[in-house]
Parts: sequence; structure tokens; C-alpha cells
Amino acid sequence: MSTNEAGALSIRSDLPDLHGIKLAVIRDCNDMVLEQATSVAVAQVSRPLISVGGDGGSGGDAGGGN
Amino acid sequence: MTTARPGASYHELSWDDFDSLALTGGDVSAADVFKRSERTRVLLLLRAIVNEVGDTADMVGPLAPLSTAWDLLARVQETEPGALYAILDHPFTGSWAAHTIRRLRTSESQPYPLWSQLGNLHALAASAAIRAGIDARLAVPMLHGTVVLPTLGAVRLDEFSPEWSTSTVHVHDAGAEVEDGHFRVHVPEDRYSHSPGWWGLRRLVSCSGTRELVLCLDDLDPYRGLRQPIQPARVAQSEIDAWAELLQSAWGLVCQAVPHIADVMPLGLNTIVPGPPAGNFREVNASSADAFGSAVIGRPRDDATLGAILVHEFSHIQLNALMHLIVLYDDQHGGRYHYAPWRDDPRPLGGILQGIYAFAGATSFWRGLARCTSGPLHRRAAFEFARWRTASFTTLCRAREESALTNAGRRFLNGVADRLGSWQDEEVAAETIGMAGLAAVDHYLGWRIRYLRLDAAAVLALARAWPGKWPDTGLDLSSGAPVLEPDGPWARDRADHLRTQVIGSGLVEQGDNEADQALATGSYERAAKSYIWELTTTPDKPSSWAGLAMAMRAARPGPASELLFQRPELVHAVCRAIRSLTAVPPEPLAVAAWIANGLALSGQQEPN
Repeated sequence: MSTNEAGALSIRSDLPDLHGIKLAVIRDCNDMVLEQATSVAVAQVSRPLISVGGDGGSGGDAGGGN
Repeated sequence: MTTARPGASYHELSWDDFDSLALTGGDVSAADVFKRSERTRVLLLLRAIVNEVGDTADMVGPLAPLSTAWDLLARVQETEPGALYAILDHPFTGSWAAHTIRRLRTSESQPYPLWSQLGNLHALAASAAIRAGIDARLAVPMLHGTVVLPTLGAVRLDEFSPEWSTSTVHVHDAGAEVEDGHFRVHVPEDRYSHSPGWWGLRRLVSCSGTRELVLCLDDLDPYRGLRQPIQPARVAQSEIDAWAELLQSAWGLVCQAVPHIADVMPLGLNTIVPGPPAGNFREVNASSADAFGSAVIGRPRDDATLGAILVHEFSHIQLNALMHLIVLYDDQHGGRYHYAPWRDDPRPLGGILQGIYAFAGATSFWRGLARCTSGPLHRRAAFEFARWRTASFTTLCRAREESALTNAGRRFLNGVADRLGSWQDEEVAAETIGMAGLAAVDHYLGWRIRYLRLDAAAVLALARAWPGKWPDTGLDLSSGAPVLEPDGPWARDRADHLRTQVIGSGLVEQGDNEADQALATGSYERAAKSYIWELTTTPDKPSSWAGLAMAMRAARPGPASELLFQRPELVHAVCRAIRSLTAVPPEPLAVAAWIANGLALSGQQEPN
């Protein structure tokens, strides 16, 4: 995520666009950008944002979801 | 200070796209960003797993080191990048990676051995190689003789083989085979086909005009569920046919009702995991932030419901991807729980935001459908529109006050508020609004009774004083923050009655609860008497208390019924305490009148 309004957005990660970068290169890479992005991605899945069943339903007072 | 790789670019989402997501519920440009950013996210997770496990042989058991699978993926990317991206875009590559990372950090026992779980990377690499058509030979995990090749299908070699073993995938010039030393199955070129030893992944194409929605119905991938890995469970062809027919019809309704969302949905929804068929108004669907592009959906009974579900889950999927990039709220901020009109239990702010956005999407669908239909379908759509435009908007207005929201979160909610707010005064039949309002109040009262608790000492003091003089000492009769353990079960039958009353016959079955039927048809005095009778046999039943509160307010307005309506949890708690002291259940309305009078005499404001 990039922002043109300083401070207006809270940025979770500057996620590098890995399109076109060879996996073999990524594996051996110790680039701090990748390290930082990896730790953010890992942290996100380590504590899932949504409980299973979520806050769902689509009408019909269906419970059990986000 | 970070050092960017020379030439590295970053995913960018413009403010215009950000605002458009909030204002319209779907944006082609944003969806394109999410597709690419989610691919990167999955790639990073794969990298994390490979780095963490390394070449530790005892973790992968009979399989080659993870680096072997990783190298094969790299070869695929060099040869046929699209084949790799198909693997990275597969929703359950993400859920596998997330589940595996969590597993590597916990000592909890798991139903699958670790090597078999890590070996899913081998299966992913083998699938990529088959897609790319490059030479490869790789051992992959096999469960009861079945080998799942993600994005392709499953090979069934020998159902009598041990629970866990391995087989070998061999890709060569003439195609691909899977063998276990005894049996060999050729992977058909038409991977969607079904043949001896091969279950192809099912793919359904729905068309409406020029718009097309292509969905895989994945009943094979072990990571298609929301929690633990699950075995392949082939869905019968008759069920697939029913899905195809329903999806075709539902997609037509989506294109008709919300064409701007139909333009975006194919970019963000590509897979459905079929759940058990759902009953009327009893849909249970879910999507996971781990599995971008997919949703677990129990096949509903009608196309309109499925249309709403598609829009709803698609909204979740988009918001999940957005929240992977941007912090909308501070989730370390105390973890307060709130009333959510779409759930029976209190929800944290993250769940509230998800619900607001997903229900705003579903509401837009019902709104559009109401405008282009007539008869029972129109009445159903109008009811759902009236029900959820108000519920979503009022929930949003409360959520907007949360200090845990970031600036981005507040801006996003403001955008959604503009959308929902513009619908609040749109014309809907008065009877429909009335029934939708009753359904909303019913749910809220039930929630109060089940999740709000009063100070036990204050309630006991009132019970001891009943029916005499109101206690002189100042009592704290406020209802605190919601608790997470419900006080009794909740039934949604009454909401069904209200819907049925609006829709008319034909779509739903009538229940047989006399009190609910009386309430739905406006016979409030009869309803009140029936609820009182229910409470003589089940004195703590939340739905009877909520029904009584609604019926009494309409039948006999006054301080007692108003207190019962505003504070059902207070009247219920005091009644229960009196019953436990005297072994005689008191008359609820008499207790409500006594409390209302006591509060008025003591000059206490009605605490809320």
C-alpha cells in the first residue's frame, strides 16, 4: 500500500510486488524488504482476523458467520 | 531503514480505489490489485515455510526435502509462469500455508502427520509441473490411496492402502502419471473430466448476457475447510447439477440487481466449497482471510438467497484482502464486544466491520432485486432490504464511535455510511418496514436477555423486597458490557414467521407457534397471553421474553410494558431471583410494573 497523504493511512506493510522475481532468487534473498514483508504476512496468519463462521449470513438472520 | 531490491515495485492501491470499495462495494481496479497482492502474500508464506523447515529430513518423513519442491516451482516459473500463478492463486494454497505456519508454532496434536502436511508443497509443485508440462518426478503424500493434485483433481490408486503413504508423480513428454508401485493412473488432459482412478475438479460456468462467472466446486483439496485439513469428499453428480442450475439462475439475478458488483466478482471469487444443503433462512456460509477467492457455501433452496450469499461472501473476500494491506482498526485495543444484528453472539470490532461491509453488499443486492421483480420475490427482497439497511447502518454508526479505528478505518466506514445512508429513506411498503422492524427488535431483545448481566446483589435486593417497598439504598441496575456465555438458547422461528407474513405463501413453510403467529399477524393481546403461558412452563426462555416484550408494548402501552421492552434482561433477572427465593414464578408484568414504579418513585433514571 502506498500513500500520497502522509499519515492518513496506517500502512501494515509495503508489500513488494514479487511478480517476475524468480522463486529461486527469493529463497536465497536476505533483502530486508522481503524479510519485513514475510514477517508481516506470517504474523497476519498466526492470528487470524476472522473467527471461523465469520460475521456472515446474507440475510435471513443466519447466524454463525460474520 | 529498509533496503529495496533494485527494480522492486510495490503494490499500490489509490485513494480513489479505496474509496470506491467503500462507496460501491466493488471496484475492478482494486480487485486487480488484490489479486496480485494476495499472490505475493502467498508467495511470502511459502518462502517462510521453506525457510523455517529448511532441509530438515525428519520433518518431511519419506518425502524429498522441501527445497526439491521449491526448485520445481522455480523451474515452472521460468518455463511457464502462468502455471505457477495458477497454483499461487488457488485459494487453498493460502489456507494450507497459513495452517502450516500456525502448526509449526504450536505443540497441539494434529490429526495429520506433519510430513503429510508439509508434503502438500510437493503436491502443489507436482500440479504446477503438470500444468506447465515440464519433466518432473516427485513423491507426494497419499491418504488411503488418494492423491490430491491441487487445482487439478485427485488420483485414486488403492483404497486399501495404509492411511498415509506416498506415491510418485511423473510428468513427461507424453503426459503425467501417478503411481504407487502397484497401480498407475494417467492424469487426463481434460482435467475436469471424470474417469476410472481420476476425480477431476468440477468447474461450473454461469452466463448472463456478456457476463460470465466461472467457479470451481472444490470437494477435494484437504485445505478447503476452515479449520483442520479434511479428506476429499466427492459430492454426488446430482448435487453438482443442482448447484449448476441454481448458480446459473443466481448469477442472472446478481447481474440484474447489482451489475457493478457482477463486473468485479469474477476477479475475486473463483471457488466454492459446497457445504451441507441449507434450510430456509438457515444459511451458514463462511470465507476465510487465508483463502482468497473462495467461500464455503451450503446450497440454499432458492436462487435469490444464493445471489445474496455470493455478493456477501465476495464482500468479505475483498475486505480481507484490503485488511491484509491496511490497518483499519487497532486489534490490540482492548477487545470490546458489541451487538451484531446478524449474529446471535457479541462480536469484536473486527467482526463488526466485516459484518457491516458484507451486509452492505447483500443489502445492495436485495435493493436491486426489489426494484426489478414483482410478487413474492419482490416482497422477500423488499423485506431483506428493509431489514438489513437499517441493521447495517445503525451498527455502522455505533462502530464509527470506536476509538480503535484508524484514520483509514474511519474513512472506509464513512464511505460505507454514505452508501447505506442514502438508502435509509427509500420507499418500502409500510407493512414490510413494520415486519422488518419487528424482526430487528426481536433479535436485539433476545440478545439483551442472553448476553447482558446485572449486578447479582442488586437483583437479589429487589427480589427480597418484592412485592413490597422499593429498597431505599441506591442500587446499580445498569446492564454491563456483554458477556460471551449466553443465558439460554435463541430460536429464529419468529423471524421466519415475520418473513412469511410479508412474502406470502409459496416460499417458506409456516411454523406452528401460536404466539409467534399471533404476533406476526398483529394479534398482540393474544400473542402476549400465549407468551405468558409459555413462560409458565419455560420461565427463562429468551424468545418468550422477547416476544412478550414486543406484544405487550403494542397491546398495552404504559410504563410496565415500556420497561419490559427497554430492559427485558432486568425484568427477567428479577423474576428469576424471586422464583429462586419463593419457588413460585411471579407474574412478569406485575414485576415489570413494580420495578417501573420503584424506579420512578426513587427518581432513578431508567438505566440502560
